[in-house]
This record gives sequence, C-alpha cells and structure tokens, in this order.
Amino acid sequence: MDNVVVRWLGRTARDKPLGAIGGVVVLALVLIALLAPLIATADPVAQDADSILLSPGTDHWLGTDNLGRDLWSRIAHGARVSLGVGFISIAIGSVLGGVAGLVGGYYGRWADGVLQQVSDALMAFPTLVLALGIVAILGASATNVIVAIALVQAPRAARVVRSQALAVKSMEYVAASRLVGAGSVQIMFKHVLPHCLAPFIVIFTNALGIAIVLEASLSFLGLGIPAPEPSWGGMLAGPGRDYFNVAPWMAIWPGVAIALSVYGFNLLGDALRDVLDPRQRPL
Amino acid sequence: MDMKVYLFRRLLQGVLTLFLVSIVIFVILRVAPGDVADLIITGGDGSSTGATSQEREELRQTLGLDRSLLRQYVEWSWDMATLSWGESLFTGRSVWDDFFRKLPVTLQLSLMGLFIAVALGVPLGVAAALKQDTWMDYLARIFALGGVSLPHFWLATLLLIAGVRYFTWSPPLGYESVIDAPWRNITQFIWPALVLGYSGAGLLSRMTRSAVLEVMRQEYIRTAMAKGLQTRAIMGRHTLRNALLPVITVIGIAFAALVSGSVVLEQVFVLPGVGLFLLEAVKFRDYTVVQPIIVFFAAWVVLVNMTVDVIYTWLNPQVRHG
Repeated sequence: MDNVVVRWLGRTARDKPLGAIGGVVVLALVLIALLAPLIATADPVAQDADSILLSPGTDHWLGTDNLGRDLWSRIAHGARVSLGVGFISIAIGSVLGGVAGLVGGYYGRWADGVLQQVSDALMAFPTLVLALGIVAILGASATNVIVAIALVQAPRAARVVRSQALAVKSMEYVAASRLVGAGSVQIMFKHVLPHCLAPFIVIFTNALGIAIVLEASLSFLGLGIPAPEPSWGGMLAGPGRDYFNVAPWMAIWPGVAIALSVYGFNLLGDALRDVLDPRQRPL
Repeated sequence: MDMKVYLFRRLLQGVLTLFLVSIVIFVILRVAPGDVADLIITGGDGSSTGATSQEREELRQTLGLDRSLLRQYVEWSWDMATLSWGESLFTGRSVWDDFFRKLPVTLQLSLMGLFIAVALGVPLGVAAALKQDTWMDYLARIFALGGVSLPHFWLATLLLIAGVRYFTWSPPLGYESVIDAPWRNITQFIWPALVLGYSGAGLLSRMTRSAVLEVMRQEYIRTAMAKGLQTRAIMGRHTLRNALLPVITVIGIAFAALVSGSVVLEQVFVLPGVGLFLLEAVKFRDYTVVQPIIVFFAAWVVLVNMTVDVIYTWLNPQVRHG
C-alpha cells in the first residue's frame, strides 16, 4: 500500500518538477511552524541590548534586529503566525463559501440568484481594500485579520463549488439515485460534494498563498498582527526599513520567507490543478 | 441574443452589484461592536475620553443613529452617491476635496502599472503557451509566478536596499504633478509602476497562457493542422485571435488587483494618493474618510468590469451577430 503511494508520488514528482519543489517547500514550512519552539535558538520576543544588529553568524544564524532579537527564531515563530492565520482563515472562508455554493448550485432558482449577486458584490472589492475596511471597523488583531481574509475567500470558494454542483446535478446517476428515493441532502453529500473536491483542493492551496500575502501586507501596514508578536510582514515594516542600510538582513529574511512560502503554495496548487484536471495535460 | 438587450442587461446587473456593494459596506459599518458613536468617542482604541451618556446620545442624534435602519441606509447611500461625503473626523476638512486632489496620483500609478502589465504579461503568456513544456515555458512561468508571489512591499523594499547599498542611488520619493514637473513626475512614478506592473504581468501571463492552451486543444485547430496550414498561419489567425478575447476580461481582473497593490506602494514610495489617504484614515479609524473611499474603490472595479464586458461583447462576433 505504502509502496504504491510512494511510487505514485515519485512518478508525479518527475512529471511535475515545479510542483514537487512546491510540495517540498510547503512541507518544510509546515514542519518549521509545528516545531518552532524546538528549533528556535532563542526567545523570539526577548530583547538583548548586547547583541543589537548583529550580522548572520554562528550564534545568530540569520542575525539580530535593532532590539537584539534573534531573527531565525522570529522567522520560525512567524511561520506559525503566517500559516496559522492563513490556514484558519482560508478554511473558514472556504467552508462557508463552499456550503453556500453547494446549496446555490444544487437548488438553483432564487437561492442561486442571491448567492451569485452577493458573491459578485464581495468580489467587487479589491482584496486589500475590503480587509482594510474590516480592520478599520473591528480594529487590528489576529482574529480580525482572519475574519477579513475569510470574507475575501468565501465568494471565490462559492463560485468554484457552485459550478461543479451545477454540472453534477444534471448527471444521470444523480437522477437515478433520486428515483430510488435519495433525499436532496443525501445526494448533495454523497454525489455532488465528492465531485467538488478536486477543484476545491486546488483553490484552497492557491488561496493559502494569497492569504499569506494579505496577512503580511496588513501586518506590514501596521494593521495586522500587533507587535511584538513575530509576523513576517510586521518584521518588514518600520525598523526593518529604517535600518536596511546597516542591517539589510532585517528586511531580507522575512521577505524571503514570505516569497518562498507563497511561491511554494502556488507551485503546488498549479501542479495539483494539472494533475486533477485532465484537460490541462499537454497533447 | 440581441446585443442591445445584452448590454442593457449587463448595465442593469452592474447597478444591482453596486447596490449590493453599498449594502455590504453599510452592514460592515453596522456590525462594529457598539456603534459609530462609541468609535468616535473612544477614538477607536477603547480608551474612554470621559464622555457622558448624554453626550453620547447627542452624538448619536447628530449622526442619525437613532433613526430606523432603512432610513439610515437611504440617507447614507444618497450621501455617498451625491458625493456629500462630509468632513474628516480628524482634520475637519472636506473628504471630497482631499479625495479629488489625491485621485490623479492613484489613477496615474494604476494606469502606468496596467500598461506595463499588459505589455509584459500578454506576450510572455503567448510565448509560454506556444512553447509549452520547454525551457522557455518554464522560465516564463517561474518569472510570472514570481510576479504573483512576491509581495509588492518586499520588492519595493529590495529596490530601495539594492539602490542605496550597491549604486548609492535611491528612487526619488514624494510627488510632483505631471503638469508642474513632468520629468520628476515620471522618475517618481516609474519604480512603483514597475513593481505594480510586474505583479500584474504575472497574473496576465498565467491567464494568457492557459487561454492560448485551451484554444490550441480545440477541434478547429486540429482541422487547420490536418489541412496542412503553416503553423504561423494557425497561430496568428486561428489561435491568438480566439485566445486573446478572454484575456480582455482578465485585464479587468488585473486592474482590480492593481488597486490593492497601489495602496501598499503609495505607502512605500510616499505618493500622496487615495490609497495612502485610506491607510491613514484606517489607522486613525477616521470612518467618515474610510467609507466613501471603500465605496469608490468597489464602484471603480464594478465599472471597469462592466466596461470590459461591453468591449468583449463588441469584439466577439459570436455575440455581435447574435
């Protein structure tokens, strides 16, 4: 059993080298986030007046910032924040949007009309502007960043699931199961939902990348995760830019972390789309 | 369908979306814990300024918060639509005057960014599709994915770092209008526009690539090949013409993405545009400034998408000739 999975993974990785790189990056990121307290070499928020603005070296792998905090430890703990906020917000947004899309696509009529209009309206907001509006009203905190990103994701998830539900509900086996007495809820969960899974996984993966950028942007603007909590975007703001002349590493590492993880999720998402959608295979 | 009927329906739908957008904003403003009066009194950070409950009630009355929700909505949306945006809670200045002064900055940055994005992204996407799964495709895709993945503010920061450290040069920050000082204006805008354009190009080239690939799998392309037409004729006449049509729609989507980017870049490059205006207002929770700007950005996206759809319809012979 294991052997089959391993062999399939190997074959897919050979077909999709970029996707494999993405997968490895994402895996590394998840491990860093999970093991952050173990692999961090120092307390991420502990200030040390004796080791201010040290360049990368043996004691501080990635150097220290203007308050003497160890950058590697901050990056590792920042992975928890970025991935955690990203995953929770995208999960909430995707599930809410997915359920709405399922109901709208399956029942059609007015439910579908309302769903379409509301998701059109939500998608009319530039993502960052919508998030800024929510933070302006609710205040800057991790919870409100999650609310904002979930609201950005929900209409996108709804659209994808809706179009799948629309396609599946007119298939013959759905009509057949209705004939033998299956109820709507049963049909939705047993037949329609599994069909939505593949595109759902693809947008979920890509959305994680978008969520990481959005959270980082908000934190960079000082409207996301409040200091001193280590967040990649926050590390790039203020001091990260003020000191770049003497300590460029302060602004380089957090950006590398953001870029690598978003790159990773996008590469993985692209490969998943190709693998899960046979139409995208080259001739 | 008759084109006039289609256009009319599209227009109607745009108006409906705008209406729903306004409801979304209105609802978001009303779900704030407490209400706007509390927000103004506490200055947003929860610290009490010692306002009495009587003062609070008076404020609620002047803001019209004691009236019915329907009436509040009607009055609020009328104010938004007629540009009676009131005064900033902090500076006391007219929001519309400030907004109108800052609008050209954001417009110029977005249009320059869009131009770079289209000029770079569309040819790159076409090249990647025509050479699918070759080194050229891989290079183009890695470059494009960089545009989508690298956050604006980091690219901008790197530009500043690299300039100062290695070339003892820094992009000119600040703003002079294109009429007063055209050359200074261009040198100030070109860097943020390049960063913005690169990310837009990433999005556009990815979409263009899949649109071209989609068309290349169609039966009529196979037929053209079977007929023995030259590859160049097939690509130019049959593939690109059909593939670039949906790309027009994507330009609308890219434009919406550019708005988010310009907010961040105005901050980094100290360009006094609408984005920076919004950011400052959000920081001080100056909600009389925040709400019309959000309404404006959403309306802008709706209008751009509508225009794009109309152009698409007009260019698409399938729709044009019913």
